[in-house]
Amino acid sequence: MKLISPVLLLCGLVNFAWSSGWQFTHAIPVSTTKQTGVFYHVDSSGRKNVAASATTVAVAWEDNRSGSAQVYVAFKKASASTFTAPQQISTQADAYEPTLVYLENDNFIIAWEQAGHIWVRVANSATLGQPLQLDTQPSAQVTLASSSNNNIYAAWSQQHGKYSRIVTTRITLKNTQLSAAPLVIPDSTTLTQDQLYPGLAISQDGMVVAWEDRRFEHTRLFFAFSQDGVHFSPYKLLNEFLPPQNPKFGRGTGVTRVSLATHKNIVAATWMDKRAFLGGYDIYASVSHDGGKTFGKNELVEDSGMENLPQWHPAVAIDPAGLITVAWDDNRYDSPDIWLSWREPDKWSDDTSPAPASGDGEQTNPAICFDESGQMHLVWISKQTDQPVQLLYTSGKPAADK
Amino acid sequence: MTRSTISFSQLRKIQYAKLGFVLLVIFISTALYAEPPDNYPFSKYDTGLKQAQREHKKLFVYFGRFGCGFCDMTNKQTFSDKALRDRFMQHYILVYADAESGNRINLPSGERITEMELGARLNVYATPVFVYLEPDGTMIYKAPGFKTVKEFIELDDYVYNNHYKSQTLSEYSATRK
Repeated sequence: MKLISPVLLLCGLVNFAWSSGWQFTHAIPVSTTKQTGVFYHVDSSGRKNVAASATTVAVAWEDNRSGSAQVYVAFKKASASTFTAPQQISTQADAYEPTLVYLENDNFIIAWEQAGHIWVRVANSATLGQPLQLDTQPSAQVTLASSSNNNIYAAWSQQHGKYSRIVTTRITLKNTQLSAAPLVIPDSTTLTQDQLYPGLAISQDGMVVAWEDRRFEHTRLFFAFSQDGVHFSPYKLLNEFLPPQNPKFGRGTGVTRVSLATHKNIVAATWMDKRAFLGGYDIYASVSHDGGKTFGKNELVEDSGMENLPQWHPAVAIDPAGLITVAWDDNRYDSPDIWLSWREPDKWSDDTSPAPASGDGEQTNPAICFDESGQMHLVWISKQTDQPVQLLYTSGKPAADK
Repeated sequence: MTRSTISFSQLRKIQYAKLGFVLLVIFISTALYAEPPDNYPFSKYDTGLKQAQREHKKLFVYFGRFGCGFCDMTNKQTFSDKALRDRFMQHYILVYADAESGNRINLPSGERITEMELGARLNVYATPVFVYLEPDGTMIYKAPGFKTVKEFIELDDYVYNNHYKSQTLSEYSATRK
């Protein structure tokens, strides 16, 4: 005990927790509102709920503290130990599934769904721009992407007759005013079923959008590439699947909720995949090295042997050195914890659970990003028995980068 | 009596019309693929939960998935049985949830979740899954996979007549043999 105490004391002083080669700060709440009956949601299409500049981290979420579902954002300077008070982004009608990206000059672009339409506005820790409606028909499931040269694009699922289709637009910020270009339809083939839940990334060579497509009477993941953001390649299949050997097994196993991340011309996609359907969803990924024009083979991200239990809520980010990292949650130890795996040269790493995001209670719904220094920022929903739900934050780095 | 004759082009038109009809039937049947069964009053989870509490009835929650073959098989081979349908309608509030969908539902706690999240919380991961719940949402029994009419009738006796309060399903099944 005499030997351990100084170590524990030291750990407490530096405020770090170790997790199998990663070093994480202790968890802090994004919002200090911890109240029974208030529920946080981090569930945007593409799971981009946290973004970071060199100096500031921003988190966007939805909660019901006001009595209705509204969207909020909070900021934390790198040097600060707490987040700013939440700023309400949405107005009046119920609002859901916010997503955000970093632009420039500490400005973040936030998009969300409100009253069945897609809205966007610019925010920083001091000011909030005017909201701008992006869609032209009832819409949902918005996601954003930005590039280092300050291109911003949005993609969402917009009603088109009986079905919904993916649309995109380019967003421009000029003197705190946002404007949007005419909508672009990446796949203009006649709809026979819905196109849902897009993921979006901007590489050096162009833009790639991926989505859930139901035209073949089961869900497949498609993607399309555009060099100019206006003209898209014909869609291609992202997920691999075997045709069912028996029609009893349906037209194909399920895939859902694709997320994309990019670094230079690397684009990483991750999603939930039920190809081993008896064990529920597994986390799969595929990587493009040509900016999103083509993707490589599908790769199982989680540890082999974990296919017998379901994994949920995958998010992906790439650090400045090109390290692709996927986060998700599963309950391999009875209650859900957050898990990470990163892509090594020849395989995905062993799963590791960040210490602040594991242990007692339920730790679910991760969202991740990397800043310019290679620091990962992680937010997630935490629920302890008989305790109000919390939205928590930690940051960390692979030990090799210490 | 005059005998009507059909030209080759007319014959081809008729053949095209027949082909069109067949394609329409295929389209309609595929468009309905793996949806909840016809003629059952399935509702959303939150609506069903309120109704169950109001009417003091247990819930029967059918978790399906778009493109799920065993869901379609259950619809066609099992839920088409009229006696079973009558039994389900008398005994339960019927709920359908798409285990892949983002349809929003509101829980009694005030929390808003999606049908996919409901599945995650009830540990539903291979569809179809049929979940029997108390009127307050407490789990009674979870039955995964395709079920025959006979299997559903046995499950119904087990749940509706409260045998689950004192016996496991296998214990109860043994008493029926």
